Amino acid sequence: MKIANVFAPLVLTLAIATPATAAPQLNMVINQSPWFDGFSKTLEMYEAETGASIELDVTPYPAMSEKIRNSIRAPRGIYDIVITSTEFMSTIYNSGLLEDINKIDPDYKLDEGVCSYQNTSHWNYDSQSFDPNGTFVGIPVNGNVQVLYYRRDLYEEKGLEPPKTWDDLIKNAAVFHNPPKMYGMIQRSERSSVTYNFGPYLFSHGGSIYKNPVAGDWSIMINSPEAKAAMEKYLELRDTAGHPNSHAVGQGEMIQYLRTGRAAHAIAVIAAWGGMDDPDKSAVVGKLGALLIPAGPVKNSSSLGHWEASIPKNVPEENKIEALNFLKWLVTKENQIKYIKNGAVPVRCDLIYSPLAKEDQFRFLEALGQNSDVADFLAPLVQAVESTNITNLYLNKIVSGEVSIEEGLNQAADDLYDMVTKAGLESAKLDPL
Amino acid sequence: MPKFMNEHRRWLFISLSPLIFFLVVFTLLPLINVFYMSFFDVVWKDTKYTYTFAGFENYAALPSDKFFVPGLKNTFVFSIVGVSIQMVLGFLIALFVTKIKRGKTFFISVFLIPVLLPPIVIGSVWRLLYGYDFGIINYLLGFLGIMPLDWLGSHSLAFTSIVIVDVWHWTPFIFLLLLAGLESIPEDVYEAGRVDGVSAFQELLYITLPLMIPTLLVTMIFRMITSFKVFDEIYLLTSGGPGTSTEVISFSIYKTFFQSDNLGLGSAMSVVALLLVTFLTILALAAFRNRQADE
Repeated sequence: MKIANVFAPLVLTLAIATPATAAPQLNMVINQSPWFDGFSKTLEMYEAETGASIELDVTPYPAMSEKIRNSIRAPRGIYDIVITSTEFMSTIYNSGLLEDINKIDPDYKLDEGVCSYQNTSHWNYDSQSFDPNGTFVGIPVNGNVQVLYYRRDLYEEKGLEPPKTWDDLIKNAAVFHNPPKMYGMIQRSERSSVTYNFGPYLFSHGGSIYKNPVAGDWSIMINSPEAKAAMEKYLELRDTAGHPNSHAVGQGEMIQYLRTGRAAHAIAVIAAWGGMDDPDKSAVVGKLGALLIPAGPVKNSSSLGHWEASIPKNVPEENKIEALNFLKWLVTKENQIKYIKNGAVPVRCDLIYSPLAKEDQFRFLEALGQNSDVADFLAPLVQAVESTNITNLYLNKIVSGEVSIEEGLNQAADDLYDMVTKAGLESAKLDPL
Repeated sequence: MPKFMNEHRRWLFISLSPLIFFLVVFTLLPLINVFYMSFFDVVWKDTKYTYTFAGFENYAALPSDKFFVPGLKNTFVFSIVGVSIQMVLGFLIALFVTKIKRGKTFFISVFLIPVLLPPIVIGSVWRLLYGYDFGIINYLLGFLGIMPLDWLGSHSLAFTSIVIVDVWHWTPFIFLLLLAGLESIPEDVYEAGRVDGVSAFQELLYITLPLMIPTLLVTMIFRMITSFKVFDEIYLLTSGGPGTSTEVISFSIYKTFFQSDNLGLGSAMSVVALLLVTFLTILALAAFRNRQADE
């Protein structure tokens, strides 16, 4: 028997069984995180609803940027959707290898209910910064920002008002501070994350790392009097009601203190909320609340830590269309409600006005919306990773007492200045503190 | 040259060629590439890598690099201190195991557990052990009336804590190699010694140690090389902090090459690390050869 005689009916059967318009199988890289399960469940809903198929490559965070870089630089990318965190978003955006979403769908734009996250969906290749008038390259998929977690049960017990300013927070935290049974405040000052945790203090005092990135002014501001005042407040809180070894506390420990009921307050990412009300993981089910991070002398602020999804240029056109269809579906109000219910972090700021926000289970939504509105971007430049490595090192040295505030901030300023000038960016330095 | 010698050489070449091919493609060429890149400023631009010749600029930047210099110093101290402790402990445990008559397999299995664990498990286990408020070690110290120690957060203690983890992790590996060496020493050498009336200490000093020197040296060299490449323990436990107290060279390279995508500087760091390991290896091998020549 000829082989063709065997295979011909098989090929014919397959051809009949496969619809001519079947959507292509897509691949997406996503990080292993507390919000992953929520994302995955929502994706399953999308697949059931539309018949689409998206394979997830679940990757530990440290390997994300490398995997994305390799895929988008290849002649044919592995991933049809890539997601970038604030830490390496600008680097990936600036590569020029992400598709302009308006080339795939010229009429599409994010509706006003979706949080703008400091315009991080748009990139200006000339000024190398996020710019609402830049190219549309990202759609937010995870609205991770920092919020103030607090023990609402203890607040009720003591009759305290939620803190509006840093001084209020110091005063309230001191009421509960009884180490090692209870710390008034847990700060996450470990070397790998101290810049992120310090962000709200810095911006709320009128400080910043760079002067005006949108205008292309990369003057170094980390050793400004405002930044010094912010660090003084950070340490005042630590010394009054914080953990004596906060410079060794990372995100894992911070969440552990909250879940075991040994922290009255902490500024942590909203993505950590999931486990707080889970009786299998938490000793404080229903006892925590979330608030807008207190204001400094200038404003309220939080640190952006959200994720944007992008579509690389090096994938087939039909995949780009399919990928965008999914992302469009994901950010609609109706589907964002499913997203929240599945345990993911929504990206719509208008959800704080939805009936869902009144439900106790979703009591974090109001704080999420408020903090998203005021969240700032710490290092919105192409050299973001290097910039954060520098600030992490010196801020950690300050918090651990290895160097003084002035010494640490001045050294950070010198290194940042060297970095940005080497990159050819317009910059200047302040006089040392 | 006789014909059969030519045939022999041809056969040698044919049989070794797959190995040579893999060595060239997967070891030599990447090394040459890293060496080449270290003299360039490598930037991804306009959908391709652009190489701008930088001469020795990347190497010149190393002495003032805020992570590389402390990383290099820490790596040396870490390797020398850690491996020395591991050698002593590994040798003592191997000696103990050779002397026991019953349950040898059980002891070997127990001692080998740490080296069999995946690094991520080791990181989690020790992070739990070292925790300031939740850690088991501080909990036990509390029973003795000792205040909790900041094992991973203190400038003076964090490095020692990492060395302790490394010793715990790798001593079993050294133990296994040395045990194999000890068990290969012929029993009749010991019997001859006993006939001459040597004590247990003299037996160790004049029989066991001299016969074990080649095994000890090879083990030490091998372990020094792997110790120089330490990464997982640092990454999982301290991320190089506090400050740069536990920064090591592999971690600096990882941050520069992979995270910051600074391929030129990262390559220069890699070349320096490679040269140092090579130098250490040559030094140790020379010592080994001198010793053999003396014998």
